[in-house]
Amino acid sequence: MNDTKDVLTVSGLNVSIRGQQILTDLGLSLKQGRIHVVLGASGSGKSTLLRTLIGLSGPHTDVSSALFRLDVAESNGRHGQTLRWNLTAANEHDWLQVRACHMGLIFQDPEESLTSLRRTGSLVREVFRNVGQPLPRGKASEQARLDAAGLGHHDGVGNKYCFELSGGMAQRLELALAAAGNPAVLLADEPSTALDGVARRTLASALRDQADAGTAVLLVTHDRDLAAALADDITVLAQGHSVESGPAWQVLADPQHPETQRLLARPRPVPAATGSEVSGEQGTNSRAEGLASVPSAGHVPLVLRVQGLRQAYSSREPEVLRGLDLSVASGESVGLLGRSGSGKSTLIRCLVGLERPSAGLIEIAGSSPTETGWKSLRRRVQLVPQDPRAALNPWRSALEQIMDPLDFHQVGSRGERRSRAMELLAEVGLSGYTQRRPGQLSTGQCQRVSIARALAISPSLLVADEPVTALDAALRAEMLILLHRLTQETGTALLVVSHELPVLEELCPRICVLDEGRIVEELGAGNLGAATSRAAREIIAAQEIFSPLPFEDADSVHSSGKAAV
Amino acid sequence: MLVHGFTSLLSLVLAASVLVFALIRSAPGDPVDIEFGASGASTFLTPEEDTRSREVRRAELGLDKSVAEQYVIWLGRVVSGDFGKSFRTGESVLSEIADRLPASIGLGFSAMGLLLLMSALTAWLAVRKPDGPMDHVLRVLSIAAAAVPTFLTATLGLRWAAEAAGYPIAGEATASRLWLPAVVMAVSGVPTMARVLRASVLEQGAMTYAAAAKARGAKPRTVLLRHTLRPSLAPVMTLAGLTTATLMGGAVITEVVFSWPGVGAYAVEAIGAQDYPVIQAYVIVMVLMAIIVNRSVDVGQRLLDPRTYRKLKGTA
Amino acid sequence: MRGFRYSATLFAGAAVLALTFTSCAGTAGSAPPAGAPAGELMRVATGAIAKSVDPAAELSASYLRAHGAAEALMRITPEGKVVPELAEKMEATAPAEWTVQLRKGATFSSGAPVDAAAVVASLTRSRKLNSLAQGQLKNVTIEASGTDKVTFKTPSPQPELPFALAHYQTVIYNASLLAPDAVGGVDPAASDLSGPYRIKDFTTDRTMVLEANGSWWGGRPKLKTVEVRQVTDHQARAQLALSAQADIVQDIPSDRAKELQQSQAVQLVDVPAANTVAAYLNPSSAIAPALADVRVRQALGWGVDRKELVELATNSLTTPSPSWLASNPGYPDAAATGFTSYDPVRAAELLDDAGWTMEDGKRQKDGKPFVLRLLTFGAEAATGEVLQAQWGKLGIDVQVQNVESTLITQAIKNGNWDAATQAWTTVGSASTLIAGQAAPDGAGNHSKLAIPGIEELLKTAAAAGNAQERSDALLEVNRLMTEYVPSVPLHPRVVATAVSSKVSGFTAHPLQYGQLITGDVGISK
Repeated sequence: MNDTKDVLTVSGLNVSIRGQQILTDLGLSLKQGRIHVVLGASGSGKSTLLRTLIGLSGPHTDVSSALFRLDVAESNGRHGQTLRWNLTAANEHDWLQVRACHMGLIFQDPEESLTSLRRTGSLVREVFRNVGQPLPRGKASEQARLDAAGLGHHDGVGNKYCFELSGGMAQRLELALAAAGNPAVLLADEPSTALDGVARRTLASALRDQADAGTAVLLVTHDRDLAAALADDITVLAQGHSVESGPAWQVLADPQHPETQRLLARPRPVPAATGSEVSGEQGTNSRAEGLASVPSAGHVPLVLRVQGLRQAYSSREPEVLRGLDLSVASGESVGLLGRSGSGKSTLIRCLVGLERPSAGLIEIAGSSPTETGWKSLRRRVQLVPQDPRAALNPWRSALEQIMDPLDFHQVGSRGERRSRAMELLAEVGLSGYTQRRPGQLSTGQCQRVSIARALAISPSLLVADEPVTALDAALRAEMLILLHRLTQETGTALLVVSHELPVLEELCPRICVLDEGRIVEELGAGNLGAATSRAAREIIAAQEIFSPLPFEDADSVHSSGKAAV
Repeated sequence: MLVHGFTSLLSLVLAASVLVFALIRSAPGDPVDIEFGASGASTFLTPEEDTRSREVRRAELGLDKSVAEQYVIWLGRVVSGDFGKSFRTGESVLSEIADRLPASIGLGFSAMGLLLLMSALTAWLAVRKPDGPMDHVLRVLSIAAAAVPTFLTATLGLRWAAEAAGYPIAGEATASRLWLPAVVMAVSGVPTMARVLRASVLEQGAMTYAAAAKARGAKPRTVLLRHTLRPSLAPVMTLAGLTTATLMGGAVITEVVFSWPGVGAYAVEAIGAQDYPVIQAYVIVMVLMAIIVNRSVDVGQRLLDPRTYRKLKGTA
Repeated sequence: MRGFRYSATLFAGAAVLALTFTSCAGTAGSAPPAGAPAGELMRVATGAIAKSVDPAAELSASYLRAHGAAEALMRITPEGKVVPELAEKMEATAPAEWTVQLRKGATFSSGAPVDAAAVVASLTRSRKLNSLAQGQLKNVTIEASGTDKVTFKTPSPQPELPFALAHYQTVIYNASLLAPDAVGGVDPAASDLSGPYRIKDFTTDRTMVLEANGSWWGGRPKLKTVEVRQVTDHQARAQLALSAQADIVQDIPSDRAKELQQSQAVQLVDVPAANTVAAYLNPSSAIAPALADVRVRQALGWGVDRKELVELATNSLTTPSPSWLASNPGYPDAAATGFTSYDPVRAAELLDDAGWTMEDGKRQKDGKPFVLRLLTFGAEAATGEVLQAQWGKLGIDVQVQNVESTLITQAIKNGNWDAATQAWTTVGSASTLIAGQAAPDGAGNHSKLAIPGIEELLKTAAAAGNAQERSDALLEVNRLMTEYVPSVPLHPRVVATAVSSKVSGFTAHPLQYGQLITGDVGISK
């Protein structure tokens, strides 16, 4: 390990934004050919670190460092001369040069990091001009680069706008752009949690390839699995301080600092007793009946019955939902597993009345909205949206947010509504936060408010859309337990929609697998190994980061599912 | 699609015509009273004679019928391309408007061009260093420019130009006279548009893709021109569409102050005299113009951002 | 997508074409009247030009005549006298009959003779199609006797008929070229009139280009071309005069008078107009019941400092009118009667007498304050503000509102008004004009105020064969108007014309539509 050279060396790095200290006395050294993972919870300063390292700290930011040095091998060879950049004193011109030729940065979400209204070929051309190796005129040279990035088998991809790319294509383009000109340092933000496992795998293997080719790679993440899979070295970041640092095997095997331990801990499972107790008979039934059935109404009334649901946005595009059948019994918790593009969002929008399906039946607590209208049924189904912060009105206090649905449906007197809202806030552990606005609450707290709001009017069914995706590992477990507890206590049926298998496993005895607009398989929570459908198997495979997954498949999944997003 | 567009256009125009018909007839006074008031004929007539000749005149102008009847008659004529004759001049309304429209459109387009140019320049100076001294100076100037009423800018501008540059105060719609009203009209719109453009460019500049472009080593100018500018233009284009519709309708005050022979000044005179056929035709023409501008903005938005087109289709 | 892009490109192309076309169209219409060397072109700027070239149309004959393109049988001089124009002479040939001898050799600009038949045809058509002409020539039988004589017979003696034939609405034109039963038109070829100039080019609301009428009976006019341009904005007009871009500019706003008076190249010619701006009062107003009391109305008359009023409101560009007829230069005696002085003491006494007592600087009666709403229009806004201050000193709460004239007409029609300013013409058939103010059914007697004995007096004024008798009757009516006060006379309107020092032969005319461009007006190089 002594033969690997330090490429990027930082020590004594302090960053403050608007006077608030974000990073404190941070030291870091990235070595040639190695992947360095910075592990930290959200808010620990990971993103600021990345932006600082590439010289893009925004306005109102103060950066100081004792040492900030980049050593780059001259182009004539690995053992040739090195070029030394002192980045502590670099001016904007130096930074332009460094960013263009020696560093690359990969953002969380590839689709957001590409300029939607540019054509892919022109972005490729631009990045090579930045690097100082302008491509020869003509489309052929652009196409060659796109081919090399693995985008070649799509006809005319160089003429496509970036927004026309599938998620997988966008990701590969972003990787290619960041790595153009073979930078000495590649920085990567953790892949957005909204992306599915396939995309995470793509990134992981790309980073590994880059490191193998001699690049010094830095990845910031909160995901212990990703860290474990990739890291050569690990630094743990907590509130802007580096609390633990060392070779990956050492940190993973023997975490010293409590924060490290917290981050590396597996989420606590939902107490098994409660889980099986309630799902009981119904769960067993459905598992036994398997794919063939819509569970018979039997002795437990159905809260939700969906039959032959179809949805198409235009006659020219493929249908998003193609005859979907689903049922949820009163008090039951059902998981809906599906990758992005499988039709999850569309189904949810249909279930809460935001969209009118083109065909099929939806029955909520025995009545169909097409007959009785949504007005009366809307209180029976409530949604916990994916992004709690975006779903809350930033100008209203937590208490007001929860009172809103009560006011809307005119439940009881004003005083009663108020006390009910206070009660709910206490339930979700936020009794002291009644007057806080979303801006003054953390993401996890926002999610609690969002859940409390959904439960306020005592719905029969709670639809949770990716309920924990926006949260980091430590908060996830808490939230899952909370959801579980509240639905059990109130007897509310729960439909959890997610692409993350562990989440569903925790909450739901019965898991339906959604693919291409249909339920393709129904699984018992303890019986995932029995999965037969391709979609389920792929998701299960992607969950296990070490198992390889071919690129081609991932791509086709994305492009076919694109229309639904 | 085409048929649908035509029907919606037609219904809009119809609705506008009904509205203007009812509105102008409910305004106080009527054209015959105004005409008699201006001529002073009443002095020389006994009250009975006066009433009778007013009635005769009303019948001549077709104002003795009910509003509904008048509307049906008017609509019937309009369908055959006849917008009637001006009460004041007895000339065909359509030809009078056609005579003035080019001057208004020419002025409107020039003002719009200048407005865009000046706004782009202002916004560019402002975003080079957001919240820097230049940005602050421009903000103050913008507020000042927005606060000064157009008639004042116009009158002062006219005074200055006539004394310092021999600007022809009255005359035909020539290029040598065009620039000043165009500048005056443009100046009134710059504050808003420059602020919108500035805000939009800054907003786009704060997006992830802009940071990504920078991280790939793009120069600030490349980031602005090749990445953030195009998406920034969407709100500007919407605003420009609204502004264009206003400018085309003849910026009334500017046209009056500069004796610009456009439809705006013409409409003002017609409204003063309650010259119904003229007002009706003017409104119809303006509605059509607004629709055309709106359509152009739609087309522009689609060219600017092809996603707009798809989104529209998706939700339709 | 491809189809869409194609149509978008097409659209853009069309837009560019349209732009080019409009800018070309803009420049094409720009040619100034060519072929007029300096010294022969007179540039006139005015607030309004004729609406059409048909003299029988509304708002047309007045402007045509003012700009030298039309003539009547008689004309009114700036002194208020009536003298022959197209007539050689006009005589009373019987108690109720006038005979006009036409001017020899007078022709229309087309060369057609201005003969008796043409005069009859022209007046008959105007009377049929224009209500003002109808009013002027009411009950008059018009007959041609021979080719150069026209007789006018009236049911009763009408000593002021010459004034009616001097009115702009009775101008003489070649009626055979115009539609017999419809008015309007902007084609100069259809308009065949007499006068020093004839219409060459006409654009509604924009310009009227006149050229010398070679066949004019008065000899060759001094100018070759007169370009009359409509410039509605007051400030722009003042600027035109100041920057010498026009030679004659009508209706200069009084706030720009000082600048023009100081200018070397321009002369500001101002005369009091032949009309009287008066504050008309409504004795039956519900809001200002005080106006029902004649003493209160008199107090309002005495409580106006007219000297200060014309100074403040018009920059002294006009003179005070103590009585309604005072603005008619033909009746100099009228200026010596009426509210000849500012007498606040008398005004206060009258108000006290009427029971409107002063308390804390405010007049009141039975606990109700004296509130008066005054409606003004256009330039009279300044007059209204001075009145507000002057009547305010009497303790009256005056609320001034400057509105469109339509709204004033409307308010008067509805009866929902207290006071409003209006200006009615005083020069012309004086007996008819004053009857409009004083007769119970007069068009300008908005309150329908009945003045005892007024009808007898008006009858005498209209029909008396003796000029002195007529004049006495008129002055008595005028005096009674200041006694019963249907309106408070204030001042004539301002007629301020900016005239370049290069212009010669210009005489200001007090009539609003008096002749501005005559055959004598010329311009030096």
